[in-house]
Amino acid sequence: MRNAQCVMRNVISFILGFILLAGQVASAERLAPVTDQAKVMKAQEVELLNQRIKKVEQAHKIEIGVAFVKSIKGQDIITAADDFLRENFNNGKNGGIVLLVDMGSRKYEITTDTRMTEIITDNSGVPALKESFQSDLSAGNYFGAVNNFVDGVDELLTYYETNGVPYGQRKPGEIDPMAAVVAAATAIFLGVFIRSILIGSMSNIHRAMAAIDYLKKKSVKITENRDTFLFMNVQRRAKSSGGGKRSGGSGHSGGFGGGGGSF
Amino acid sequence: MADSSVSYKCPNCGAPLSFLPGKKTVTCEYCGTEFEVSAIEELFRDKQESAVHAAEAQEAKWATEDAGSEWASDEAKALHAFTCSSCGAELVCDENTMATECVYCGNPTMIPKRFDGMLKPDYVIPFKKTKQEAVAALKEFYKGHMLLPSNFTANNRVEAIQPMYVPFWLFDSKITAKAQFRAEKHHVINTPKEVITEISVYNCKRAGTMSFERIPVDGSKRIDDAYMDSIEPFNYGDLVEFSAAYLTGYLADKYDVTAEACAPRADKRVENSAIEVLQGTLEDYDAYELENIAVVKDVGKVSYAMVPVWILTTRYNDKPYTFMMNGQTGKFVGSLPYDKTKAFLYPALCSLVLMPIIYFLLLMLN
Repeated sequence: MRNAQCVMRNVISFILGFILLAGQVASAERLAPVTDQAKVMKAQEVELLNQRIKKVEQAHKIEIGVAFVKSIKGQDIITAADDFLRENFNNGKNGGIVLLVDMGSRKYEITTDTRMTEIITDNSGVPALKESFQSDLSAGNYFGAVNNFVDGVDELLTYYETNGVPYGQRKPGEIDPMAAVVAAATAIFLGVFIRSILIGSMSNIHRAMAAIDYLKKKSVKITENRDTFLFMNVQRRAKSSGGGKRSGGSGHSGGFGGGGGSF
Repeated sequence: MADSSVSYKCPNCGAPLSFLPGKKTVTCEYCGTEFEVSAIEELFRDKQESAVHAAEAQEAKWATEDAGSEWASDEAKALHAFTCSSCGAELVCDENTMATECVYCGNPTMIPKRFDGMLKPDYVIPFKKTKQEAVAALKEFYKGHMLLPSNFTANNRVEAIQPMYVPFWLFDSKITAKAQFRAEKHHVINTPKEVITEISVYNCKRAGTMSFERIPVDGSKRIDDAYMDSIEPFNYGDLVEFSAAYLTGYLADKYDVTAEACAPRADKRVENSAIEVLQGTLEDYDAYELENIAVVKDVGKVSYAMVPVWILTTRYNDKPYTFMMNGQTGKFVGSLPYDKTKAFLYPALCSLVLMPIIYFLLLMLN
């Protein structure tokens, strides 16, 4: 069963690669950044996007891939996006990122390679990126969506190059205001607690509430011990999704990161 | 006028006799002669009887009807005069004083009338701790209190150190307790998407019998109940049959709160302990809550005992501070004043130190 799935996955990857390759006027070096196998954009729009992406790629020494496909034929979209990145956009000096849009299931997936995961994090970068283009994608403005996606990648990389840390993380030495407020409130609470303990320690006067010191231990006899089951309550608590973080074994393979959604 | 009090004097040298802590005999501190408690009782029995008669004679002479007003009558009931058998001075004390000290000659004096009938205690726990040990315990008690005012130990002085036998009611009881608890067993199932907690709720009925031996409840209005609760427990291994000889050299009061009035305090303690015992059978449950309990007293017996307490009074900034020590076990209790500046500065300092530590811990967790 597992072998059959593996063979199926390879076949689909090959087909996806073939379709993408066949749909392009491929250069000898690599696949063009934008692949519109689903024909959702005009050729002119694709060309404009290719030029825009190449500029961003050169500026940041990365590789960006965008693909609109009619269907991934039942394959897992995360696996398909990972394979698409691994096979075509994995040679950027500072990493690679792809956006795979499956028009059949109306799902999309972003995959970042191991280097890009350090720059566009699953926790903050990917959600910000998704927010930048998802509404256009839902509205059918695919050109605008890709344009915004590329702008988002450009901004996140610029942020990293400027600040030395990925978007969503504090700069070295910068105070986290939320942590500072929580720390101050906790410290004050502990201070008040310590004060009450110190003041309480000044007296050891207290009323005796029990008489266990005077209980004759051997006299205790339990004469009735009856338990009756009444009912059962079931409480369900959803596990935290980890803020949308997915990497390695949690979805993407080989240390890749990313995130996706429906539109 | 006949003596209405009795001074236990050494038959050898005439000096006052005292029951020294930790000893089983009555000792003359002047000539060193030791007497058995029974020998002293025999020796002074006649004197005590004479003193009782003299006291009754004096009580009969209280001309409350001549005082002409109701409050004077109350005063007359509360205050009683006795003559010191050593120097003849008239001693005035309240209606509960059983043993005291002559303010003129310092002679230990007992008022045997107060031991009569229902007022006579069944048991006494003799003093084991000395005055020196009480003072040492007070100094030790000062240690380790960060908020104690710096000049408290330097400026305060011990105003009085008094050894006193405090009247206690000792409640023996055999009870049957029945209780119902609402108890829960929690079973947690972890699935990839959620945590499912199954809470099984049970009604648990428990009943049992148990006996309590000599639950002490002080029978004195003058002594703070909380202080007396705090010096517990007592070791009843040292409990002996009451003899007035043990009181010589100490202050002693008879009870002014009846056993019936003290019983609810003992009953509440018994009930709380019964709950604790029955809750001990619910170990298999993750949570439980008492729904109701009924305690039926099968056997209830009360005895009356005198318990040794050292009372120390100090004064600081014109305010008195009272400390008490269990005269048998040495357990020391009291309330110390605290320095308000220290009470602000120390916790503030702790907060300042903790703040960056908590901050960095939060950053590490994120």
